[in-house]
Amino acid sequence: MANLALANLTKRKTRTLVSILAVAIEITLILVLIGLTKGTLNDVAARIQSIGADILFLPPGSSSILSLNNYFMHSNLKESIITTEGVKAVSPVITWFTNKLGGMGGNIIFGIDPKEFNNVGGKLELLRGTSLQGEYDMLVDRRLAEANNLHLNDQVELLNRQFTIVGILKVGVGARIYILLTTLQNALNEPNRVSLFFVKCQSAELVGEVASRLEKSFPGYKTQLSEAYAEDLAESAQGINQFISAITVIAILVSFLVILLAMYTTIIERTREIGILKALGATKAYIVKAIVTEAVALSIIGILCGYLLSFAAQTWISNTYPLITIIITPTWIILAGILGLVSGFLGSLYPSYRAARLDPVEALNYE
Amino acid sequence: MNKILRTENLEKVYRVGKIDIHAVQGVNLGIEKGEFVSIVGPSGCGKSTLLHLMGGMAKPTTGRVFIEGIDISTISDVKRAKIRREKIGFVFQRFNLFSALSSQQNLEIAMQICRNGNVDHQRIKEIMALVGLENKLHHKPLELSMGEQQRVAIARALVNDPLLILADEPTGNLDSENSYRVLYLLKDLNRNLGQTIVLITHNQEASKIADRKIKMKDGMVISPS
Repeated sequence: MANLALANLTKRKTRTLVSILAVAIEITLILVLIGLTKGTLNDVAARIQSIGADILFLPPGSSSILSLNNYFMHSNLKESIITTEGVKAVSPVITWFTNKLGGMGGNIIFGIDPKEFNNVGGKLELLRGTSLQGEYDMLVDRRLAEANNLHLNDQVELLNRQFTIVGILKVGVGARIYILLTTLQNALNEPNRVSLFFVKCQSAELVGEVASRLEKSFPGYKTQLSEAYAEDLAESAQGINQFISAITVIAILVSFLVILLAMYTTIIERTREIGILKALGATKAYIVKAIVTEAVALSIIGILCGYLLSFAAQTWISNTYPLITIIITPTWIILAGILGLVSGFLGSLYPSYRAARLDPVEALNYE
Repeated sequence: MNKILRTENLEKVYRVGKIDIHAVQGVNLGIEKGEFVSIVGPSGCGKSTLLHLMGGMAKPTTGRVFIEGIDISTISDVKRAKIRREKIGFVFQRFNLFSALSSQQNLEIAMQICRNGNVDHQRIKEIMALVGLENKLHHKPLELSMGEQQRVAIARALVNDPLLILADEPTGNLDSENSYRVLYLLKDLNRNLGQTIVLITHNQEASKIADRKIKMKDGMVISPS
């Protein structure tokens, strides 16, 4: 039976190629889309977590996705937060989102007070240059610098101001772009306003208690535990997840329909061969198995091609857009493979059912 | 003698539009083990329909077909398929080989269907040698002459050691030389192996190869009556 399935695949090369391509595109779409989402969310979460703060204190109505936030709160809240029992240090930060300098849709800018940022654990490790001192000083991380071919002392226009790059940072802590807190407040015309406070607790055991105290003391304000940031970020990104689910379902559906069409035309083309199988005494189950085997073989080849395409796409995206992180995880490789197999299997069921029901004499006499 | 196939008042009616076509009417015949029988008659006289009924490929409208005493006209499709794979070997006018498979693979498929996926390669080689094509095991049908293709089809019909070979116009697509070879191959199989064969043909000359001749006309057996 395997011989027959394999021979049929090589006999109709164009049909086989189109079917394989459909499955491969399904797999690639799933892996790349999930990879981009997971990569971006993980990257953001890892960078926030690596700041070293224990709690993010956010204004009412704000989202865990910092780039979506347009909410500000008064910076003098810092004095009240620092006096909360168990709090060791507080760093006010104002964030802004810019479409400039690449990235997946853009980049977040952190406006910080370097000393206070350092107190909550935000160890900005300089690879070259110095820390923020002057009003229009800017720090960028190595990945952003390389992606934009930026060097020390280069001028960057942002928020209608000319900034000078005074330092290149090691990748992986907080945002990719840092400027002084007051500079960003002034540029946004939001003096004395901040987007969030990073809070450092006196000990790791106190984090939960401190968060509860803060929520109690500041009704309506939100606390976000740093260690749970990745999960909460993923939950906040429900819209993105729904979009990905929709694309995944469409990809599966397209692949299912292509396999169904390919196998259906195969049945029509090979009606006579099915008649021969029936004359030889093949059962309905044997014929269903023969057709399904062929479809599954198509799907497996398509899945393997899809894996290759996905890794090629990952390499291309990483090289072309260095600020975008794409993660293809083993779990999703397996899941995408299963989805590809299931769509191929389902796509072959109706054609195989039809083939099995053919009348032997009519099938043999089919022209 | 031992009748391995018997028909009783066999009828097959096809409905085309509003007209009933009586393809086979009241056929009573018996085939004994080891016989070589030809069923001869003009085109459209119902020979092939009769062969399909005898081979369990189609169900009669009325009447019965017995193979080794089993009434195959009333059994399920699954049981009829079992009878076809275990008891019957078909040879068709158009060979009906799988064009994408080699001769060996064509025989393997028949064997796999009959033996739950098991293949006896030695048996395949022996059967291919029997039809004189031991050196064409790996040739695909289009790499063979028409006569060779029909001999592969005969090998496929033989590979599961069937009770009965039903050959439907096996020389219909062959030139005279290849027709002669195929007919004498069938004759040899009958004479040397005792293989029971029913040969359907419209060719009076070809029918003479058989030991017994049954004539058909308008769906009925006219001789012997």
